[in-house]
Amino acid sequence: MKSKVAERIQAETPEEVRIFVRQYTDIVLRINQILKAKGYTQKSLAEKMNKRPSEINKWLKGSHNLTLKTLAKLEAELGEPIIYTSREQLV
Amino acid sequence: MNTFALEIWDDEASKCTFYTVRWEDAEESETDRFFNKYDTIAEFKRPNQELLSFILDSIGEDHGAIDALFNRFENEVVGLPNKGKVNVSGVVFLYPNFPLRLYALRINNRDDLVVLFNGGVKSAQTTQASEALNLKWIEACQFAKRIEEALRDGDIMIDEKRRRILTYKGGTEIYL
Repeated sequence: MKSKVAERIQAETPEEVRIFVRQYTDIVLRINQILKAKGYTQKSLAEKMNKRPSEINKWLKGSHNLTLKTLAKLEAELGEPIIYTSREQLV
Repeated sequence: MNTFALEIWDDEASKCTFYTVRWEDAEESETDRFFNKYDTIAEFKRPNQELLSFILDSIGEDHGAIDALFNRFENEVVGLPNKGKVNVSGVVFLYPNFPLRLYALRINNRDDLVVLFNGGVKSAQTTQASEALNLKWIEACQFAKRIEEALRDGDIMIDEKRRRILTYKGGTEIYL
């Protein structure tokens, strides 16, 4: 069973909103997972990237928008892919 | 504190069952009141939809109620009438300046059983400063405290296999 209110609002929610939320959450979690696996702290990552720790915190705690440029910088520094894009050819 | 029902809000997600609380004399649960309220305010309609998607899709279907998706507010328990530690956290979509806060209790810190309460708009720098939100925070802490006490005292128990909270007799109608 599901709350009728949740059911109604979910039905009215544009598909793009749901896609955005899921992808944004996945990206933030992926970055945190890589940092943990590689033993980075926000402070050490900030030093490596010549940024203030507060700026890194903003990226990871959601008070600063993650742009594609930011993601590329993070991916370059962390050495692990953050987002994948399908290269499947559509017929 | 008056009696409230602890009831299922959504049990269809693959990774997490969501419960909510409803005052005994109320028709709507606290979580429904929250979503209904912000659905009707134009400024918050989209954040409201995002928060719902965050709960049902990202937590419910994709990741479960993992630590990283909950903000902890232990430092802000100041002002709580009943003393003692509570484990209430906030469900916050990690997007810049996200305005809405919904309070929640992860049952026994499990990632598959969550009780959702009410919340509000984070209009000031700290929760304390957002008076209306602070009232919801205190209320959430009171709900959580009673739920945790009932678990500790054996008045309610967890059916781990079915991701359910049951009365000590195995019933599903829970009033605390």
